[in-house]
Amino acid sequence: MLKDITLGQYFPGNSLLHRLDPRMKILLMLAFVILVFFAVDLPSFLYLSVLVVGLTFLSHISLKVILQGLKPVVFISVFTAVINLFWTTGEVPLFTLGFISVYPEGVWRALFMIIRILSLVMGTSILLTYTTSPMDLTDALESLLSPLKKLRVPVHEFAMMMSLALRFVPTLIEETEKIINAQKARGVDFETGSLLRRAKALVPILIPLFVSAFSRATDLAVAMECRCYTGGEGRTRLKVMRLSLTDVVATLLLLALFSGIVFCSYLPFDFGGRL
Amino acid sequence: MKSDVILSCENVSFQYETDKEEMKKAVREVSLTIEKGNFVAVLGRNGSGKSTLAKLLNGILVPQSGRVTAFGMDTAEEENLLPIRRRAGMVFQNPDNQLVSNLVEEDVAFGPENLGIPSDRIRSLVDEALETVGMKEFAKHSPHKLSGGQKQRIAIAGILAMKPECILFDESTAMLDPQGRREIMETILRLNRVEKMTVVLITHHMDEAVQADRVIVMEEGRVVRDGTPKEIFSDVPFLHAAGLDAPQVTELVHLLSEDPVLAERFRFPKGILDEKEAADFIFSLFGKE
Repeated sequence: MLKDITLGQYFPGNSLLHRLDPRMKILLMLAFVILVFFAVDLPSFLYLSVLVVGLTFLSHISLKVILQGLKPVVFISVFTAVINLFWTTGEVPLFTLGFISVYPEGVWRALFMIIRILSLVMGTSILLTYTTSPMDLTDALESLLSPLKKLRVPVHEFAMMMSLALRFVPTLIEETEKIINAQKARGVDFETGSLLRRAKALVPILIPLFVSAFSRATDLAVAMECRCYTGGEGRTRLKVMRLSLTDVVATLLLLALFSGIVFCSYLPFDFGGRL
Repeated sequence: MKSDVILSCENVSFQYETDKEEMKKAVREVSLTIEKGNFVAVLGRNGSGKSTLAKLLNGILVPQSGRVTAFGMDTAEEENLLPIRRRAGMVFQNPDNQLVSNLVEEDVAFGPENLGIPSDRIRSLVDEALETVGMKEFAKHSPHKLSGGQKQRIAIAGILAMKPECILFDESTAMLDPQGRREIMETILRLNRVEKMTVVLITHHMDEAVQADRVIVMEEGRVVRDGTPKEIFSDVPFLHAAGLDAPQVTELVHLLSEDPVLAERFRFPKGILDEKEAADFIFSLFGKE
C-alpha cells in the first residue's frame, strides 16, 4: 500500500519538461501555484484542467503513475469538497434533507475545490519532482538562493539535506512496510478499534523507524566523508547548468499558457458557480 | 619504509568514546603493513575490531595511540585526510545507506564533484567507472529499483570514479544474495588482478577470503594470525576457536582426518582450499584402496 506513494519521486525521461532548466522549473512552479488561485469560475477551472492534462502529456509520464501520486490527497480533497458542498449557502436550495440544504453554489464550490487541490498537486509534481532529479533540484535551489550566501545562509547545506531527504523517501517507505509487517506478525492490530487506539498502534512503527533512520543517517555521513564530501566549498558538478535560448522560450511559452487561467477568469460568461 | 608499502599501522590502539573501560578497546596494539597491489582479507567474529581497523586505515577514525600512515601521510594530520580518503576508498555493508542520489550517474559523480574536478573530466571518470563495474547501461536509472548486487556495484563505481589506489570493503557482501555476492566478488577480483588495485576485504565468508593473497585474523582487537589463505585455513581448530569457519571443503577434509582409522592409513594434506583440490584428494583415497 505504501509502495503506491509516488509523491516526491523522480521518473527519469527525456521529455521537454525533463530537459528544461531546473531553475526555470522552480520559478514556473511558483508561478503555477500562484496562478491556480486566479481560477474562480467554470471557464478558468476548465482551462486549468486542460492545462494540467496537457502538462501530463508533455511530461511523457504515464497517467497511471500520476493518478497513483494523487492517492494521498484523495481524502483531503473529498473532505474539503464535502465541507464546501454542505456549508455553502446560496439563494435557492437544490434539495433539502432535514436540516441540511444543498445549494447549486455548494456543488460548484465542491467541484472547484477538488480541481484546485488535484491540479495543485499534479502540476507541482509534474513540473518539478517527477521530471527533475533530486540532484538537479538541489543545484537549482542552490543556484537560485545563492545570493543569500552573502548573508551567511548555509544554502548548499540546506539544498543537500533536501535532496538527501528526497533520496531516502523510497528507502524509508520500504522500511516502514517491513516494520508494519513485523509488528503485525507480533499481533499489533492496525485496522480495528477507535481512532485513538489506531493512532496508538502507530507508536511501535514510528519508534523503530526513527531509530533506523538515525542509524542510516550515521552510515550515510561516514560514506559521504569517505567520498571526500566537505560541504559546498570548491565543489564542481557533473552537469553545469546553462540557460539556453530554448529554455527561455519554453519558459515564456509555459508562463503564457499558465496566464491563460487569469484570462479565462475574466471571460464574460456566467455559469453560476464562482469561488 | 619500503616504497611499495601503501598502508601501515604502528602499534595502533583505538577505543570508542562510548566504551570507557579499558577492556573495551576496539583495536589494540595492531601493527601491520599492506603493500601495493595486495589483496588482503580480514576475518574475525563480530566485535573483533575489523571494521574499526578499516576505518582507521583511511582516516575516518584516528587512533588514540600509535600511528597510521597511508601513502606516506599520517592520518592524524587534518590536512592529509582528503588526499588519503581519495586514494583509499571505502565500500560499506548496506548499499542503500551509501548512495546519495536518485540517479546512478549522479551518484557516481558525487566523489569527483567533491574533489572539485572539472565537469567534462567528471563525465569521463563516471563513464569509465560504470564501465569497469559493468553497469554502464544503468547510468540513467534510479538505484532503488536495482538489485542489491547492482546497487553495491554502483557504490564501487562511486569510489572508482575518484581514481583510488586502494579500496577497503567493509563487509560489502554481507547483505547480498548469492548472485549479488558473486557479482561483487567478480568485480573485486577483476579490480585486483586486472586494474592492479590494492584491496582490503573485510568479510565473514571464508570462500571469499580464500581468493585473497593474504588473510589477517582478528580477535578482541588484536591481529592473531597473518598469512596466506593456505597457512590460515590449514589450522581448522584455531579457526573454530576464533569463532570462524574453514571453507566447506577444508572442513570436510579436516573431519575425515580426525577419524582415527582413516588417519592411520592415509596422509591428509593440510589447507585444502578449493573443491577441485579436495575432489582430487578424495579420488586419490579411492585409488589407494
